[in-house]
Amino acid sequence: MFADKSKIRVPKPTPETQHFWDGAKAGDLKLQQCDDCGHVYFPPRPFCPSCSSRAVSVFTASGKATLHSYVINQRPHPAFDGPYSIAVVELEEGPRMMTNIINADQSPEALQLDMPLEVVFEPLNDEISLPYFQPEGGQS
Amino acid sequence: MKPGSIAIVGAAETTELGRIPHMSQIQLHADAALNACADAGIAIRDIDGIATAGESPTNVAHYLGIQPTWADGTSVGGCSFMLHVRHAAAAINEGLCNTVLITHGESGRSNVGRSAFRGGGASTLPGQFEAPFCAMGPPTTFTIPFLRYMKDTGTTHEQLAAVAVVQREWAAKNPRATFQDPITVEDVMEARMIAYPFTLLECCLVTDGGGALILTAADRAADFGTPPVYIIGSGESVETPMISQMDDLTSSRAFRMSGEKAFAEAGIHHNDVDHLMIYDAFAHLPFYGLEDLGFCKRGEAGAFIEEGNTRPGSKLPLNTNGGGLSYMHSGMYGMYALQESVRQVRGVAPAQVDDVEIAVCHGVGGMFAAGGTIIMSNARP
Repeated sequence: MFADKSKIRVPKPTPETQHFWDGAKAGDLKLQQCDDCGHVYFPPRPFCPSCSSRAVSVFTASGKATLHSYVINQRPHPAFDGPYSIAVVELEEGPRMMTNIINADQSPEALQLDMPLEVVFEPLNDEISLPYFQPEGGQS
Repeated sequence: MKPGSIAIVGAAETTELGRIPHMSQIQLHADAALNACADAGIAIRDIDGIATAGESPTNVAHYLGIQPTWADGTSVGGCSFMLHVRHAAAAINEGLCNTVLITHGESGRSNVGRSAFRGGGASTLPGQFEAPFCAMGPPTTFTIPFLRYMKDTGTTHEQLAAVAVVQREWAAKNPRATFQDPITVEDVMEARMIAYPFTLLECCLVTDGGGALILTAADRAADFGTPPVYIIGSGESVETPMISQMDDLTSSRAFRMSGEKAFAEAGIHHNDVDHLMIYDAFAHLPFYGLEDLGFCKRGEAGAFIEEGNTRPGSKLPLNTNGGGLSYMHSGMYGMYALQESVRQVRGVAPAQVDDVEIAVCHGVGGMFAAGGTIIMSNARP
């Protein structure tokens, strides 16, 4: 699937997002929840985007998700060895995030909307691991 | 805004459209601006307000020799010009300036003197949480929501293809359209796949061009050489810089808020609308626009277009210049949608619709990041 991971744009954490990338490096998907209204949200912010409270906590998500929508890019990208999916997944806890679906055929037949997925982290370098998703239970 | 208080008195595109390697981007702004001034019968020195996107208003004002008392650099993507019209109306009504020039120019294809691509850095939120997943610009990003829309609404691949087919019918009537040859649903579906489920013919063009508008108070509009096009309603909103973070992948919140405000201001109903433009960067945009602006119920836009309700001779002529899919698309297409609305309201469009009084022009900014709606009329309310 991957041809050359050095061609992937490496995210640069900020103080507000460092916990997410520290979690990813350790193999944990970190989300935040508002201590006041209970809203679970992503991407990271030190306040609740629903009620504006600054009382928020970081927690480890289940890593379970469903395939919400995607495209299969047919144009060559140096990081990939062929067509690849660019997807939005819906996490079990509610928030959505962009990712690639890996360890699956990159075809409309193999990638069915609402199929169950699980997070899998792949290191880009010593500091950054990216959250990818694969069919639940591993290779489909 | 105050409905009918402001009028468009000058409107023009660049002298050429398409492939213009002999003009830099700033010159495309200027070429369009000079054409718009000629249309309005005024000189650049008569302009005292400037708004633009893609270039800074400072660059455009200096290049043209404008000494403005009001400048607006709102840049939220391709619908920025809808927002400029709205902001200019407020500025003129507040007495900040009298005669506003809004310019667009983009060397989208030839890339001559183009400002650096404004993709976010690696530490922005999109840079951290979207860019690492290797989307290659709009064709592989703007398109992501559509499979969700298809599944939730039952919309088909054939209906998506029908958008391109119908807009080509309009383009065939327009000598300035980039693509004018008729196409079929099969042609569209069998075209090269770019990003499943989108084929090449369901993606917009990449061309060079520009356009400019001149606005002033409706009370002064008779002093200019053109039939006034009154602004009777306007709306704008922004949602998210990350398509993955839309509230709902099957509907644009920015479209809904912008459209609702514009229709309320104008005090019109959907069946009052004679002509409609919906910025079509990709073939699914008209579905979102038709539903989020309230022309169709949820999930019905695909069948509405497939059944011919927007084609030449229909009850709701849509994207009558051929749209971003067939007319031109420099990158920030909203200006060309506005130009076509003005032509239709004036009655001078290449594919002129009969008896256009009220035209709705809706733009998208970024990738469902923003929305802007302008409602025009040739009658002052």
